[in-house]
Amino acid sequence: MLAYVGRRLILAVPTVIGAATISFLLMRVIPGDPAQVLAGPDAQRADIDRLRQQLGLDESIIEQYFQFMGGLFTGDLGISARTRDSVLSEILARLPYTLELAALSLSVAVLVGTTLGVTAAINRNGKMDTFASTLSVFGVSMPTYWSGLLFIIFFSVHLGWFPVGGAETWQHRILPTATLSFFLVGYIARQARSAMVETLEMDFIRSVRAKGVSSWRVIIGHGLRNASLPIITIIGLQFGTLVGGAVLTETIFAWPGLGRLIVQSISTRDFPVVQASIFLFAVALIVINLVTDIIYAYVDPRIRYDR
Amino acid sequence: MNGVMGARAFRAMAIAMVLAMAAAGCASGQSASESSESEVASPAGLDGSPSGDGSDAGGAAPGTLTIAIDAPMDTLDPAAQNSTGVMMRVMTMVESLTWLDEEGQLQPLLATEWEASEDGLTWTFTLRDDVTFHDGETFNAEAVKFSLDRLLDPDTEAAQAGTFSQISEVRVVDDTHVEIVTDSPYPVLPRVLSQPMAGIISPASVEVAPNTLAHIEEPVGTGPYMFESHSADEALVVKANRNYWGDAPTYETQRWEIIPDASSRQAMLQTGEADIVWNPPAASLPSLTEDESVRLEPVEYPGTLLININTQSDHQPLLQDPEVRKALSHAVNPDVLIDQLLSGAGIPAHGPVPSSMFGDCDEAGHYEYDRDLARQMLADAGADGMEVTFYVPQGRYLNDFTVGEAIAGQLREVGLDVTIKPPTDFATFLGTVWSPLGERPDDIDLMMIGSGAVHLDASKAMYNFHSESLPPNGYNGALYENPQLDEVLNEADRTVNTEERAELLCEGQRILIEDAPAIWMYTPTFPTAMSSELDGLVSIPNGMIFANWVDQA
Repeated sequence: MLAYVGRRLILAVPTVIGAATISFLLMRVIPGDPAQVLAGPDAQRADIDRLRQQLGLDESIIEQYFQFMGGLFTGDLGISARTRDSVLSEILARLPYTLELAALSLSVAVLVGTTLGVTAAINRNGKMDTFASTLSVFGVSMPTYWSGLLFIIFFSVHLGWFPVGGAETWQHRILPTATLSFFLVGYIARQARSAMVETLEMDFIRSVRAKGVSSWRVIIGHGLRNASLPIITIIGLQFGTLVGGAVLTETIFAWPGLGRLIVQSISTRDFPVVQASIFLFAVALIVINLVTDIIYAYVDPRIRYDR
Repeated sequence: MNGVMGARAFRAMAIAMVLAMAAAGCASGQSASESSESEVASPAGLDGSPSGDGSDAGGAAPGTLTIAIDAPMDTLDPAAQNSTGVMMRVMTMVESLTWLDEEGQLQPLLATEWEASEDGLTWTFTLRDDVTFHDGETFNAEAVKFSLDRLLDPDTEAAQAGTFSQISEVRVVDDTHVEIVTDSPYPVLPRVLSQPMAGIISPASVEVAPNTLAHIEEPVGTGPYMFESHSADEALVVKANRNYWGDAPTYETQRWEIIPDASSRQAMLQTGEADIVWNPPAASLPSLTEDESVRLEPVEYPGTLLININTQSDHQPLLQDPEVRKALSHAVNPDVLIDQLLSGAGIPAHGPVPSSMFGDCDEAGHYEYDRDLARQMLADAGADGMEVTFYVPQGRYLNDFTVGEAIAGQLREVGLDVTIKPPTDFATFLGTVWSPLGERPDDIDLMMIGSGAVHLDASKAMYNFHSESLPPNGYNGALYENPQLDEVLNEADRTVNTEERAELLCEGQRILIEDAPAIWMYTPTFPTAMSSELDGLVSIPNGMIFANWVDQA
């Protein structure tokens, strides 16, 4: 196992370097000049030139590349072209909010989704099943932009239960979490349901059932174990998406997260922030994937990596 | 177990759920305005903003004024300012020598009067003697020199220092008199000094963390409000300066919250989370105008939305003929664009300079919408059916691309064959249209853009047609080169006497109207929505609002 992990970590290095290089090149290939954007719509040529120099854009592309890559390995992620603060501080200011929302949404989605899915499976083709399945379809198909605004209309404007925007109090977390987890609940419920159905169709279930009601606990236990692998996969995959891709939810609820920072930075051609963010995402995704694979091997002893 | 009947019932319920959601979504426009009249329970746990009611009967200062705005607070450093939405927030804390009032007129602020020398090169400003900075330091000529020197220092992270590059020296005469020397006569100096880049900060404040000489994070000025806290993408909080030299600010705290989505901002007005909302959704303007619990204050963009006509186009040489260009001006109808596409959020333009700017001249004339005349003129010039390519931005101005498509329709109605380039994001658009002449695509016959001047001076508005502004040096998208205009603008920029200057600027406008290198359409406006129980919002026609003296109506 240790050898496996070691190999994965070594292979991660070229992947991360590749991701960083691609993000560096991409930002420079798309049209648009950060100095021009920063100087503003009515600025003069002299201003743009001076900013280019201050931002280090007047150096050769090779120079800029080595400065960037060198900075990554020493932990210097550069200075934001938009705010002139360090990129690291910009990212760190948003990171806790993003992680919080991701963790909350995933937890809610797993709890609610699994419960729904298992109940649906046990109640197969019954009322509960239809209800859960319909909810899943809604969750998976409704765009976050729409469900978010609908929640605001119902729960903020009409009922006045929860605030619309910001991140000050615990009430501010409810609607963004509901919006973000809505999709995941659907996804996870479907997975839990099919895993549970699979368990219920196994031979040994008949004999367990014959023993009586208390056997349900055993059956559900089996079902959950069966469902855990696909659900762990989903968590691993979705965590990365949630960290960078929650931009619609962040925008509607004015949640100060990383998604918004990155989209803003792309529009304003804030190269350093975009480059550093993509690099950090690559690292995070690699780590998450590795951790997910290790958890697999732990949860299901049949899985072996050392060959 | 559960019969087929049960399953069917639940399917029906599911369908009902879909319809209910759809109905709610469609009805949201209506119900959103209705609900603002009913009592909406204020969400618990918020910062206790009194929302304009329940505050004071006995003259005690009301608590927190919450303003929801979309633009993030990019930088708090006065010298680094580059956009009006951010500038106005810095200006609650940092003041300049002069300011522009609600009519765009230049007024004294930290300076009480000013005068230029005979040769126009030295300006003497007399300063107030009763002003203190937020950190207790005295405001004086030293502070003015320090702040302006800092702005001109190439190491400072200034974005628009170019407008001030004419200043060669700042001299302290005594505590209340400062001399500003320019390289050549610079008549707009008092005006450009009204901008926050020339804001006066306490020299001692750059030594106090987290500020440094090159980068200020917590500005210390003389304004009615003082810096309290700032969290990126969340909120800027400023608190009242009870030692302010001018009219006392009303609210104890102003909280500028960053709320990027326009619908969310509007919802916050309805729930009471925000007292003032910047730029609500344009589609809501009709319902907000009807709503008696909401007051709308229009804010003007400091310039005009126009269409540059490529006066040197090889792709469409007919555009080199001024008669053809004038015909195009007659073909565009800005009134219908404003009414139908902007929900009324615009003021039709009468020429290159909006009325809010110094030097605006009505006598220069303008073009009336007249389709038949346009067709006639095009036919006479042999230009009917001519092909043109039109570059339109998207996502920068209200409904910009839709407006562009409508204009293309209006041009087609007079027989033109218009091709609109597919939209790109604004940074790409800028990069394309302002690239150097050799690299620039050669089919930019018409391009839509906004152009103006934050310090509201006609010369800057017209300078985009000066030959010095040809890309990439400037924004002369019409590639217009007229030595006559150059001469008039150059002279206006040397003439300190205001009457003579105004006359020259008028001459410049006459030339531009006569030659028609562009179609000037309208000045975009956008509303600020607030509770009708509040009043006193100050709106400057360069895109800024000030809530320092907002109070109960």
